[in-house]
Formats: sequence, C-alpha cells, structure tokens
Amino acid sequence: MWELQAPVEYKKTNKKFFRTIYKQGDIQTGVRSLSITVEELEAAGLDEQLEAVETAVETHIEGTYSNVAVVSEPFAGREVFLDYAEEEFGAAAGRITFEEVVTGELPEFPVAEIVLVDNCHYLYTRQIGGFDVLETFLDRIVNRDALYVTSWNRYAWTYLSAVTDVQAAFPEQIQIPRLDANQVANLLTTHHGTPLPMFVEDEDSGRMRSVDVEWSEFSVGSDRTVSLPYPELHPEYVLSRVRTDAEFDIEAVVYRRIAQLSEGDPGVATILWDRSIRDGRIAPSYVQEFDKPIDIDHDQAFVLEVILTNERIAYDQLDRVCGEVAVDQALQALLTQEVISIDDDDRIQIDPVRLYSAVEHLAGRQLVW
Amino acid sequence: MVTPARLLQTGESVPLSEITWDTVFAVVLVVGMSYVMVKLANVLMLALANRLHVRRFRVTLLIPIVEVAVYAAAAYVIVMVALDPSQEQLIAFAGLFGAALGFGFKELVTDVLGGLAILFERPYRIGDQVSIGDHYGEVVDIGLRSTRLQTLDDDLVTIPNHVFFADSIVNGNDGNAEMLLTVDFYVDHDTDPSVAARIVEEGITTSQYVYVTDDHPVSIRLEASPYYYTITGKAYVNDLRNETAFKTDITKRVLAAFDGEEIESPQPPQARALEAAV
Repeated sequence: MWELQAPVEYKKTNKKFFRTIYKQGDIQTGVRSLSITVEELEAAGLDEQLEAVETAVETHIEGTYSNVAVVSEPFAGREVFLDYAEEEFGAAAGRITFEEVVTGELPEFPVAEIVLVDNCHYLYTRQIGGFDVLETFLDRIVNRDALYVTSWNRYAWTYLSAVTDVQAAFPEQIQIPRLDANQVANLLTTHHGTPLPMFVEDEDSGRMRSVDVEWSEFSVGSDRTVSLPYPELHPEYVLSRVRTDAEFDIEAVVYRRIAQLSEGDPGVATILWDRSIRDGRIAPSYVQEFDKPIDIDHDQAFVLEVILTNERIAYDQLDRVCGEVAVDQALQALLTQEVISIDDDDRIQIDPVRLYSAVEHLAGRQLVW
Repeated sequence: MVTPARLLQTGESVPLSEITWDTVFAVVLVVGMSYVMVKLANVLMLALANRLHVRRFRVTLLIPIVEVAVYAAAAYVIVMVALDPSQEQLIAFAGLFGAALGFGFKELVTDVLGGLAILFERPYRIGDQVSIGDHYGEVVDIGLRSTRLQTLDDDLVTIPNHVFFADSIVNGNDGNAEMLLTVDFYVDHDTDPSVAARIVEEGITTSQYVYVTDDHPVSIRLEASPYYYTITGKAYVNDLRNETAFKTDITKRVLAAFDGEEIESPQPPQARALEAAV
C-alpha cells in the first residue's frame, strides 16, 4: 500500500518530488497484470461481441467499409478482443499498441490486410491543439484499403464522440457491456477454477442492505420528468437471513456485490474477487470494504478524470494536460485515499478496485457521462 | 388549568375567552419549535445536497416544501387545537383579516400567495441560476414571503415573492446542474478567422468545466464587422456553480493560444489610420 511521508514539502510540478515521495511501498496491481482470457469472456457471455469482430472482417472481405472500434471500461479486457482477432487472422493481421499519449508524428502502421490498433484514446490530449494526431489517424484509416480494428477507453470515446466525428470513421462499434451478477458469477467460477473459496457471512456484512434506495425518472405530463426515490429489494440477502441453507444465498450476495462494485467490468471483477479472498474464504463484507467514498475537490476530480480516460499516464503528460491545476496536490489526495497507484514505469492509473467509486464521483460532478 | 403539555398531548380545545398565559406560551412554543425544525431541516438537506454535487436539485426541491408543510402544520395546531375558535369567531377573524388586507397587509399577503405559486408552479427552485428584474444569481432560499439570490459578486439580494405575478423571470438551468453559457472573442481582420474559431472551439471542448453530449453540443458563431471578427462560443458548463471558472478558464487558454498563433486583438479605427499614416 502507498504510504506518504509526512510532512510533505510541496513543490508544484516537481518531478523529483513526485518520484521520491510517491514511490514508496508495494506496487499495486496494474493494467499489465490483468489476465482476462478469451475463455473467461466467453464464459461471461461475451461470445456475441467476440463474433462481431469476425463478422466485421467478413464484411470487409465482401467489400464493405467496416472499421471496428472496440469500446470498453478500463480493465474490461478489450485487448483480449484484439488478441482474439490476431490469433484468428494470423499473418493477415498486423498490430500496433500505444502505451502512452502520442504527440508529434503518428507512427507508421504495419502493412497488413487487417491492422489492429490498441489504446487509440492515446491519440488525443485534452488541450488546444491536442486533436491533431487523432485527425491524422482518422484521415489515414479512411484512405487505406486495410481493415482497422481499434480499441478505445469508453469515457474517452464518449467524450470524443461528442467533440469530434470519431464515430463516423468506425461503422462497427463493439461495446463490451456491463456484466450482470449471473455473468460475473460465470466469469469468476471460470477464472478461479475449482474448488471455489468458502462463502461465509461474518458478523459485519458491510453496507449490504435488504433494501436500497434507487432513483428513477418519471414522466409528469407531456414534457416534464421528475426523479423520485424507490426502494429496491435485495431478495437473496433477505433470504440469506431467514433460510438455513444460507451458503448458497451468500454466494449470490457476493457475486451481486462484485458485479456492482466492478461496474460489471470483467477485469475489475476478477481483481475484486482475488483481493477479497482471505484464507480460502470470501464474505460480502470482504468485498464491500473496497467501496469507499472519495472526498476531493473539482480540480482533483479533473486530474482523476484525465487519469481515468487515459488509463495509464505519465506524470509529465498529466501535468501538461491539467494546465494550472495543482497536479501534485491532487495526486497526493488521490494516493492518500488509495484511488490511484503508480506502476514500475512511473505511470499513474486508477486502482481497479476503486473504479466504481471514481466513476460514481466523476459522474456526480458531470466530468464523465 | 390549561398547560402547554396538555394542549399538545390531548389536543384539548380552549375557547378564546379562556385563553391564559399558558395558552400563549403553548403558541409561542409551537412557533419556536416549528422555526427550529425548519432551520434544522434546511441545514441537513443543504448538507446532503452539497454531497450530491450535480444531483443536489433532487434535495433542494424539497426544502421549501418541507418549510411550508411544517409552518402549515404549526398554524393548524395553533388555530384548531390551541385556540379552537367558534364559527362566529372565525367569521369575525375573516372580517378583520379582510380589513387588514385593505389597510396595509396587501403586499404581505401577495408575497405569501406568490411564495405558494412559486412552490407549486416552480419557475425556479433552490440552486437555480435566475434573472429577476435587474438581479442575476443563484437562488439560495425560497421563503413564503421572499426569495434570496446570491449574485456573482457574493451579494445577497432579497426579492419579495409578489414579483412572480408582476415581473418576468429568466431561469438559466431549470433544475439542471448544467447551464448554457456564451463566451465572446474579438480578433483583428488580418486574422484567419477559421484558425481563431478553431482555437475557440478547442478551448471550450477541452475545458475541465465543459459538459458536452449530443443533447448539449458546443457551437461556434463567427460574425464579421467592419473592423473585427466576433467569435462566439456557446457551451454548457457542467455545474452552474462553475460559471465564472468556466469562462475564465476558456478565456485564459484561448488568449494564450491566440498569442502562440500571433492572432491579434482588433485595433480601434483611429489606431489603424495612424499606423497606415506612419
């Protein structure tokens, strides 16, 4: 876990300060250590999305323009889709992976019938003049005969769809959907193998409630809507309180909590699962411990938004995008609350298990949508 | 002996002729308790609203409703339980009330009616950014008699509710956190207007305060005048509380980019003539 040295001598945009203060303790699990497989995604019911890649290639072979954008939440395993395409099409496919924000010249792409491009959200920066590389890329792909299968961060894609014509360049868009509790259960049982850990209920069942309050929009008249709260019952949790065969129901509660806290994201779900197992046992409260609110101001939230949309970003690039925002202070606040982590390459990223909290907070400020 | 506790617990009625100091004390107690309840509810609901950021309007919507409900309940307890007037007394009171209206309380009653109309018709709610008359600011309180606005200069303006019947009210966001804003830039005729317009557009779309979706697009308008171009950017700020920060952020970054591209501000015609003569 990250530990901050106190007192911290604050120096704005001081890279040395950043390295020496924050590079303490163990390195948290990062993007590169995620190991979602095609089998796990198929077990989760995403074969339809995997087949969509094959269909797009067939459409391309038939002569129809059909570049593909695979769009997903961070950690959701979209690289697996490109792995799948690479394996399926063998020598016909060439691949390029962007690991950081691309500035200046766009690199040359492999000469192949099918070009796979990972992490296209690195082709823009959120600043004036920051869309030039993306525009060059879009111009390049519409003027080539090859089929481009690309992958994008969902939040960056949503933003770019609103401010550019990026979606027009990709007639085929494959969204990796959020998994429901049953799909998460199938994913995790495939991921873990047998035997599964023992599902237990300890004294403190976390914030899992029998009834949660949800909000929904209701129409009033022809042109007005109002948001009203309504109670949502969690039957499996209620039943687990009254039935003697409680283990089965607790299992359902665990999967439901993981589905909720992972936003149905396969990569986050597996990490939550792995980190919640203690001595071969797992309980709803073990999962619930990762659901902690985030207390940050608007500037710090913007830094978090830039990290979220880039997924992994170097300090220098983050500092450049954030302009006059005090990035060091923001990073300190985010590290203290264990929202972000820094990997071996000094790249900053959201801790996967805090993705839900981060997205919830940023959506509450309308920084992501 | 009529005690306040007896009145409140049993709901026992007291003819007006039997009003004692205890009854008066009970009335004062009810008024005081309802005032404290309203203030406490306001503080709690505002604290909750601020934690919800852009979803705060779901809570602030309830604040004036709770206020009116508590005061209405207090009025009911005082009149029907503590005083319990007879039909004749009610008629007499109505007559006195009518006379008071005619002699000087007309404004007050109109304000209260305006407050009730605001409550049910909702031309604005707490948190909205509105223009009423010459005043522009965020609605921070809707009372039965008046509405309070906090202006951009942090002044607190109290506006009687009867203006609802007499004046036009402009609501910038209508219960949403996002709000449409415009920012104007003026550039010299020697400038390539498309480059300047593009800088303005990117300055807006890359702001940390922008809210841009298919339903909330960014748009740019370019107008030519005899001596300069006007570039107007229209976009939604993600939270109306960031209005000033949004405009400042865009202006600073766009002007810096103008400098980088050597885009000049327009010069007055006299300065141009002087420059040409030299």
